[in-house]
Amino acid sequence: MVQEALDKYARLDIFFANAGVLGGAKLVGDIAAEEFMETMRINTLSVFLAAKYAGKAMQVVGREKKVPGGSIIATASTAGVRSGAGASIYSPFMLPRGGG
Amino acid sequence: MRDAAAHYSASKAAVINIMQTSAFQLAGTNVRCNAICPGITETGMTSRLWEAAKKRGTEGKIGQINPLKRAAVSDEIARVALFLGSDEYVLIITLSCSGGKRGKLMKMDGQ
Repeated sequence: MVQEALDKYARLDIFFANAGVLGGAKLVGDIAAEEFMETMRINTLSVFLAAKYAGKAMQVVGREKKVPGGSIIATASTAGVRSGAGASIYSPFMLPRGGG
Repeated sequence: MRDAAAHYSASKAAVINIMQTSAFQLAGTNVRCNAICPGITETGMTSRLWEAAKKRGTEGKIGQINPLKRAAVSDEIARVALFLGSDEYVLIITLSCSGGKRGKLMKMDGQ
């Protein structure tokens, strides 16, 4: 994706890493290791890869871009600031039993 | 089940941490890194929540415990991303867009 942007525009200025999944509203004892890793892969590894590749690409300068730089933005969550402050706690009456 | 699940919370806490570390390591390159922390927002990811509420006729209650008394829509989060994508002198902030509920309004580390 980053290489595609460089090939097409010869520069990269903004990367917004916004993809994510809820991963199912389960109690900690009910989460399978595979589910845990899949959520980490989609929500966290994606942001790491954005920083890894976009960070370098934003420093590429040339005819189109004289000064290096850019902005990497990632969507986290209030749940990442304080445990349990995520989507479901805002609407505790909304969750169907056994999942959300 | 009231709280966000452990794997979701952990994955998002790591996102904040990765952005902080990357911001420090990219300091001096003019590449800035920031994280947005939305509260409940109507998106494809939360669509099941809205569908369940609609079935119960309680859609209007979503987000009612926020000081702003409502959930966010994706456009409101996109505007924050647009701000961070601009050339503003902003680095390493964890910007909460939660309607005032939980989190800190602006947690600035390393300013």
